[in-house]
Amino acid sequence: MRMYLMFTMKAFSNQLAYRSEVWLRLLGNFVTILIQVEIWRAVIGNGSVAGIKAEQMITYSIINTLLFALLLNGVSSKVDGSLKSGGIASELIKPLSYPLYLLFDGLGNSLYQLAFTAAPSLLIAGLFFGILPPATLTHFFAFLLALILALIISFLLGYLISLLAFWFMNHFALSWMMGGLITIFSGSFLPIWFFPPSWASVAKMLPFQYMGYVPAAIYLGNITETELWQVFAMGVGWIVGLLVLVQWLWTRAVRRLVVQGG
Amino acid sequence: MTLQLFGKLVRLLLKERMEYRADFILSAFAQIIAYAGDYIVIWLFIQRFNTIAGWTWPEIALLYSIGLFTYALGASFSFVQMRELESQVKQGTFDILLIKPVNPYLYLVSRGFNLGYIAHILISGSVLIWSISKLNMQWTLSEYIYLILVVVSGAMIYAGILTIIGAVSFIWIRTNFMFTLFFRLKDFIAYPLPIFGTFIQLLLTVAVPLAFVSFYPAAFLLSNDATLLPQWAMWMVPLIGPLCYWAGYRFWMYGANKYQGAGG
Amino acid sequence: MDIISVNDITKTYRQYRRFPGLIGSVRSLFTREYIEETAVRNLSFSIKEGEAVGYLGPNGAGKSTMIKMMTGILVPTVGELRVLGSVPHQARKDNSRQIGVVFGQRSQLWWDLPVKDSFDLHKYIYKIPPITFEKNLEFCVELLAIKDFIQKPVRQLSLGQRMRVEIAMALLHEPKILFLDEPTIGLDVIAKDQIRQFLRTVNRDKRVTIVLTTHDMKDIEEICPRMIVVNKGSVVYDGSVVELRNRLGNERQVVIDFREEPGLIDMPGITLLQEEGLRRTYSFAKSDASVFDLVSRIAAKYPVEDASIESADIDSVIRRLYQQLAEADLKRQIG
Repeated sequence: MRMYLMFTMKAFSNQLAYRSEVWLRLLGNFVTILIQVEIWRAVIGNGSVAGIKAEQMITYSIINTLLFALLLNGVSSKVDGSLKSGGIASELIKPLSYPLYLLFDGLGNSLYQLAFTAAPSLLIAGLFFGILPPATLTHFFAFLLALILALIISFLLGYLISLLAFWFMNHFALSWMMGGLITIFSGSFLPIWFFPPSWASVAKMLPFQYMGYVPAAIYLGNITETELWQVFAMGVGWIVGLLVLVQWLWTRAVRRLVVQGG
Repeated sequence: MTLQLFGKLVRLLLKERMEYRADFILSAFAQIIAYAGDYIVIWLFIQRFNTIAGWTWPEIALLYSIGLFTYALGASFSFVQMRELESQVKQGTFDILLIKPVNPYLYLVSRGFNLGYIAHILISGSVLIWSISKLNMQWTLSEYIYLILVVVSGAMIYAGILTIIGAVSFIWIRTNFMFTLFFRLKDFIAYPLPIFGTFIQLLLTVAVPLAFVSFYPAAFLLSNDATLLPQWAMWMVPLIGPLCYWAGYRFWMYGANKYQGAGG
Repeated sequence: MDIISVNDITKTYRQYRRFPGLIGSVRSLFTREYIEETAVRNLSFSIKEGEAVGYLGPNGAGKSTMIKMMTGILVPTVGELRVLGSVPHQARKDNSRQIGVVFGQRSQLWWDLPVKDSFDLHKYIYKIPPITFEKNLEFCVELLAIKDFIQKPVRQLSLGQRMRVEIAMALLHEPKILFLDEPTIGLDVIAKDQIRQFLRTVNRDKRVTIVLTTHDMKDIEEICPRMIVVNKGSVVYDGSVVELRNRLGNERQVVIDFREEPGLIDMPGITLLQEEGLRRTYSFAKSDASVFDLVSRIAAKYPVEDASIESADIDSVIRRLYQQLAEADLKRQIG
């Protein structure tokens, strides 16, 4: 375990080399939030639509924009890099679990983003656009838990893509496709409660909602305490399902790698 | 640099892509899915709210498609070429351009002509045609000509701005952050400009003329008068592109001269 | 007639000061702070049509900068430079049709396409008449033996094959001058030999003027009767290879195989260079006495099995030249 935490620390300090880009990230987040804020102000105005006010949507947008920086999206391109350079072979020889290494390495990045991007962005956005407090204390703790689910699911999906790239050999295409699905079904721009019923029911069956909609909706209290259990149960279900899937793909990928000699 | 030589280059570039045919097709397919995602989100949005600042779904689709189509057109002649320029200058591969009997700028952009934007073109072109037919507008020939002119102009605006950013590589500073800033600004013009404050509108009209890529053309075509510009300015819009591109080209050549050390 | 004339050329680079970070990047745009570095200093030489000249010097001597100025890539800061009668950067396009340039470490070929496609494009860009193109192609294909892989994608070629192709391409438009920047770097002995032979033929039979930079003295010895040595941006030697050897190569090496261990040999004018079992390599200063004399004196005193006399190779001649330069530098600094 200590070894894996070392990877986290290392990834964190590697990122420090890019701290000159912090301003850029802050500016980028600011623009992204600004665009969404103006859109919600334009369509909702001072009233409310389906019981949702503009301030709620502003908070929703802020949470989603910042959450996106924390997600472990870099996993698949990291695997792709070592697959292309052939470095994967030496990664596999090491006496450690490759997926765990990837996870902890990714967490180091997320930690960095939390400290240097998300936290200051939150401050700026709160100052400029205002941010609502969490609905209740229970919802706040549930929100924190949902963040952890979001990290794990984003990791597993990224890892899944990188394993599929062992067969398709086109990581670029796979991650674009996944990106398209995430754009729609994570609800990170348009919350699922605004979806037409048929689309909403599909979105609520998929894992992507945990990477945007679920944490923000919990924070705002738009998921009631009784529904919380259901949402979490399904999230854990997805994690287990994805774990089984990637484990199965992983053993096959390693076998493939051994057969082809890297 | 003749059109004939450009044709020859395109044939070679195509042949090069076909070496990895399956990869190319899979990538194009994936990009179409990704952009379909963008379109679907906006469509879902309008399903709920009917309009954004008074713009209906086909109108927004027209606006967004002009933006994406012109970007693909302009970027195929500039983005990757200009992004790579910094490392080309650093590694000295840029010198190879200067030993050929050709205009270095025209050769650089044509040699790097990016067929990878075919997916962007396909999806935005299709939605563009669909939105025009859906809008049921009584267009005369002049509107169609106008559309063609603004598409060309929009592509030139993109290519001009990207060229200016690329040329900064000659003056020895990192250009990466400027590209990132550009893409953030570009995010604005996916939506009708009036939803943003006057500052943003002025920024995108005067400082970085991205509003002329899709917003003003679409607004004029839809006779939507909620713009900073009066109706008579309609036919000025297609002039912005050539102007922008010319400025980009001049600045690039100035940068290249500076690199050579001529009078610098 | 001088095909290249370099007259008191100086090239300084301005290294603009860069500041870290985003704010720094913006600041770098406006700042005027810079350091000036001189790559080439008051350099003069001229090259006649049909010559083959080796242009050499230690790393950082300004070799590449000079090549880039002669090919019109860079512009001299001060001085007059003429190639084929014109100022290279002003007549860049016209001149480029009459010069061929090969960079050892920068390929001009299309990586994923057959070699032939790069050649065809070259024909287009340089507007080579079909008959001329075919004739030159045939010449190169035959002498460089590239027929077997001309239809193969460049990525499948070995480094030696690729280099041969690069050189062939640079000659397709019948240039009057061929510039080569380290054409043999990283190649194996056979490939190097092939390229040297070919360049010699091109120079002698086609009268193509050759200017070449290299770190491999064998290139110079086999291709170029004349060499220009630069150091810190200035010419330190310009003349024939033979002459330089006479000037600096006054050292002979003698390899002696002894029958049995001779112990320490004490004789004036010899230095032990290497000891390998019963084989010893000594260097003799030629001026002191005749080498043959020395060897017979050793043979008289010690049990010598065999002895051979070798002249210093060009590598060691150049090494001595650089050493002398460094010593002179040091003296200047102290004095």
